Amino acid sequence: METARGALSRPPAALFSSRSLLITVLRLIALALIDAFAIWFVTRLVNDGEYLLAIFAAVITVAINVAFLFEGMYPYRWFAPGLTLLILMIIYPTIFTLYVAFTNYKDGNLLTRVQAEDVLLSRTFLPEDAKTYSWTAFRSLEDPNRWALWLIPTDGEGEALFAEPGQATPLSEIDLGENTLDEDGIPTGLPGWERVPFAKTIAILDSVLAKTEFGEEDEKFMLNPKNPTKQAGRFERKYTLNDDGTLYDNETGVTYKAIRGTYTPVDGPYKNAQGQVTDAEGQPLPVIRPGYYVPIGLDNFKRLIESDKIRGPFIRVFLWTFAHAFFTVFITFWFGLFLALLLNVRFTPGRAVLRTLLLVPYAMPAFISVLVWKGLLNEQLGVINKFLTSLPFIDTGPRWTSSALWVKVAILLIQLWLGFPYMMLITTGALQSLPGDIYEAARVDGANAFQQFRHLTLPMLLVAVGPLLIASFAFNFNNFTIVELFNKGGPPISPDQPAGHSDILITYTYELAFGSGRGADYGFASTITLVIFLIVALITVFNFRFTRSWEEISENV
Amino acid sequence: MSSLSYVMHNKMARDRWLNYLLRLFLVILALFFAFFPIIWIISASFDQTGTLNTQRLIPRNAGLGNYDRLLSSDIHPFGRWMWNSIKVASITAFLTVLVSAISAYAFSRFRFRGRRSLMLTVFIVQVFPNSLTIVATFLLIQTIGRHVSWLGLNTHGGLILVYLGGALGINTWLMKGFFDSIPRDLDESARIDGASDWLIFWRIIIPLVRPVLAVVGILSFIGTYGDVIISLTLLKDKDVQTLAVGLNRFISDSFNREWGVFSAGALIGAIPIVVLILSFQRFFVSGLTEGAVKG
Repeated sequence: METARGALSRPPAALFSSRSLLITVLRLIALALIDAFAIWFVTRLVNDGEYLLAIFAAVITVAINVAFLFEGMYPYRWFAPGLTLLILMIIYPTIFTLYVAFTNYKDGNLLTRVQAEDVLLSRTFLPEDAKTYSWTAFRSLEDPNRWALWLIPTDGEGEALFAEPGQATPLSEIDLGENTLDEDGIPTGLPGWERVPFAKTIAILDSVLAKTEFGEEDEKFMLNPKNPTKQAGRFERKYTLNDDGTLYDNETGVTYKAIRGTYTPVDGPYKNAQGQVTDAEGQPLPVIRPGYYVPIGLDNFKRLIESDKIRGPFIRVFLWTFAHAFFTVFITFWFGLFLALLLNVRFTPGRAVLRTLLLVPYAMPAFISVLVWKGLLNEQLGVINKFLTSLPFIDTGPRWTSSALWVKVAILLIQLWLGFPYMMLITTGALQSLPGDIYEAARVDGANAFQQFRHLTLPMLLVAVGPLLIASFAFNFNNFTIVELFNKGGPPISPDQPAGHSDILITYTYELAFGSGRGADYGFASTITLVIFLIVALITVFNFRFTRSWEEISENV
Repeated sequence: MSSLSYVMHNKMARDRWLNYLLRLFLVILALFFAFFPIIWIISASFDQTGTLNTQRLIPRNAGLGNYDRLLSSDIHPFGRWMWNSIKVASITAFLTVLVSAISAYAFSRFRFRGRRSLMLTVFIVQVFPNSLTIVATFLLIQTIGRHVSWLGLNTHGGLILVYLGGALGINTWLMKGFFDSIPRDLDESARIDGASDWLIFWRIIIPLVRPVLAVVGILSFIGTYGDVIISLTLLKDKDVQTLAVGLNRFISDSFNREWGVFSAGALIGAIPIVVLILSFQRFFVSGLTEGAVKG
C-alpha cells in the first residue's frame, strides 16, 4: 500500500506545483473578471450620482482583492461571498436608511441630483421661429422598428437632411446608391432603408414617429406637435444649466433654482404683486419635476413630533405595536402552557398523536393561514359571523375588519391560532426537563397542586423559556405578514393619514413608502424604520442582559 | 389482596381515567379550534358551486372542479406561483447552505486576527433582518436593476440576492458549532497527505456534516417560502410573483366568488411545508429550544 501510493505520487512535486500554478492563474483570472465588472459598475453608479453605493461597491472590491492577493489574508478568502452579501444587502441598507431618514426622498424628489439634471437637460421644445421641414418616413431594412425621416426645409432655404435617431446627414454627404431623387426631392430609397408611403405611417404616427427623437443630441428633429402629419421641426434644449446650479428655461425665459432639491421659479419676465414668477396670463408658475433628494436635517423627526396630524396616529400605532406583541406572547404562552400541562401527565394514551395534531396550525405557512382566517372572519359572508348571527341573541356579528377594536381582537385571535403550538412545544420541552425531586419535597411540606405550579413550575419554566418569549416578542413586534395580509393595517385612523387602527410600525412604514394612492415618502418611512431599529436594539440588549447569553456567546467564539 | 386495597386500586384507576377523559375533552376542544379552519377550507375546496357566502360544511356538489379551475386559469397562474416559490426557495436554501458552510469552516478551523470580532459582528447584524430596512432594500434593488437588469425589481435574481443577505447569520453559528465537533485529527491526516484546505472542506468535512446542512437548508427553505414583505415589495408582475404574493392578490381581487378555488390553492400551497415541518418535528423541538424562531 505504501509503495503503491508512493509510486502513484512519484511526480508529486511537479504535479503539485503545476496544479497550484493553474489554480493561481484561475484565481487571478476570476479576480480580474470581478474587478472588471466592479469598475464598470462603480463607474455607472458614480455617473448616476449614487455615491454611497459606489463607495460600498468599491470598498468591497478592494477588500476582495486584498484577501485574494495577500497570503496573510488567506482566511478572509473564505468569507468573501458571505461578507460581500452581508455588507451589500444588510449593512449598506442600514446605513442608507440612516441617511435617507435625514433627506426629503419622496415623490417629486426621487432622483439623485445627477439623474434629475440628466432628465431635465434632455427635454426639448419647438421654438416659435423654429426651422420647419416637411417629412417622409424611411424604415430600416435590418430593424423594422428603426425609423428615419427625410427632411426638406419648408422655407426652401438650406439643404435637405436624412435624420435617423442619433445622427443626421445632409443631402450632399449622402450616398443615394442606385436610387434617385423624385420630383419633390425625396429619394426613392436609400441603401439599407426603404421609403414608406405616408398612408402606411398613419398607424404608427402617434405611437412611434411622434415620440422618436431624430438627429443628434443637441440638434433634434421631431414631428411638430401642432401639425404632426405635415411638419417636423428643429427642437432646441428647453433648459440650460447655469454655473451657479440654476436652470434657465429657454422657452419662457424663467430661471429656476433648486430649493430643497426642487427646481422652483425665482426669476422671469412676468411677476405678480407678491413677487411670484408668473406666466404671461398672470398665473403663478409651478415647480419643475422631477426634483432630486437632499439632506433636510431633522425635518422628518420634527414632523413626527410636531405635526398633530402625524403624531396622534403615530402614537396609536406605536402603542398597538407593543400591545400586539405583548398580548400575542401572553395569550399564546398561556394557552400553549395549558395544553402542555394537560398532555404532560404520564397517564395519557395517544399523547404523541394529540401533540402532533396540535402542531398542525404551526406547520401551516403563516401567509396561508392568515388569508384563510380573512375568509372565515369576513364580516358579511364569513362562516364565523354567519354562525354568530344565527344565534338567537345576536343580531350582527363583530365588525372584524372595519371596527378599530374588533380588528385588533381578530388579529390576536389569528395570532393565538398560529402561535399556541409553538408555545406548547417549548413549554413541553421545558416541563420535561424540570427536576422531579423538588416536587417530592414540596408535597412533603404540604403544598397543593396549585401552589406547586405557582411557586415551583412557573418560575423555573419562565427562566427556561424566558429568552424564547423575548425572541417571540421581538419577532411579533415586526410581524408584517399577519397584520398586512389580514387587513393591510386598516381601518384607517383618519381618511387623510396612512396609519390604520391595526397598523404596527413595520406595516406603517410599508404604507408610507409603498402604499397606493398616496405619494411614496421614503424619507419619512426611513425615519420610522430608525424608531423600529432602536426598539429592536433595546429588546436585544435587554434579552442579553436578562439571560446573560451574551457571555455564553462570547465564550463560544 | 385485601378487599380494601382492591377497592382503593379500583377507585384510583377510575379517577385516573376520569381525569384523562376530562383532559381529553379539553384537548379535543383545542383540536376543534386548531382544525376547524383547515376542515372548513378542505370542504370549500371540494364544494364546486359554493361561494364564501353559501358554503356548508358538507359540500353539496362535491368534486374536483375547483382544483381544475385553479390549475388551468390564466388570471391567477397558480402553478406558476407555486413553481416560482419552490424555485426561489430552493435556490436560496442551496446558496445559503453553501455560503454559510464555507464561512463556518473558516470560523471553525482557522485562527486569525479579527476572527472574534467578525463572529460577534455576524451575530449582532442578524438581529436586524433586511425586512426591517425594506425601504432601503427596495431602493438598492431598484438601483442595481438599472445596471444589471436580472438583479433588479420584479426579478427572481434580485429577490434571491436580498434573501442571501441573511446567509451569514445564526446559521453560520449553528454550523460552526457542528463543525467544531468534527475531530481536527481528520484534517491533519489529510493535510499530511497533501490535501488543500478546500479539498479537506469539500471531501472530508462536508460529508460528515450533512445533517446540519440539511437542517439549515430546510430552515432556509421554509423561511423563504413564507416570506411576504420582501417578495411583496419587489415583485409586481403576476407571472414572476411567488405564492405568498400571488395568493394574496388573488383573494383580494375576488374573495367571495373564488373562495373554493382559493381554498384549493391554500391547501396545495400549505402541504409541502406542513409535511416538511411535521416530518422534521423532532429537530424543530430541539432546534426551537435553542432559539431559532420560525418566520
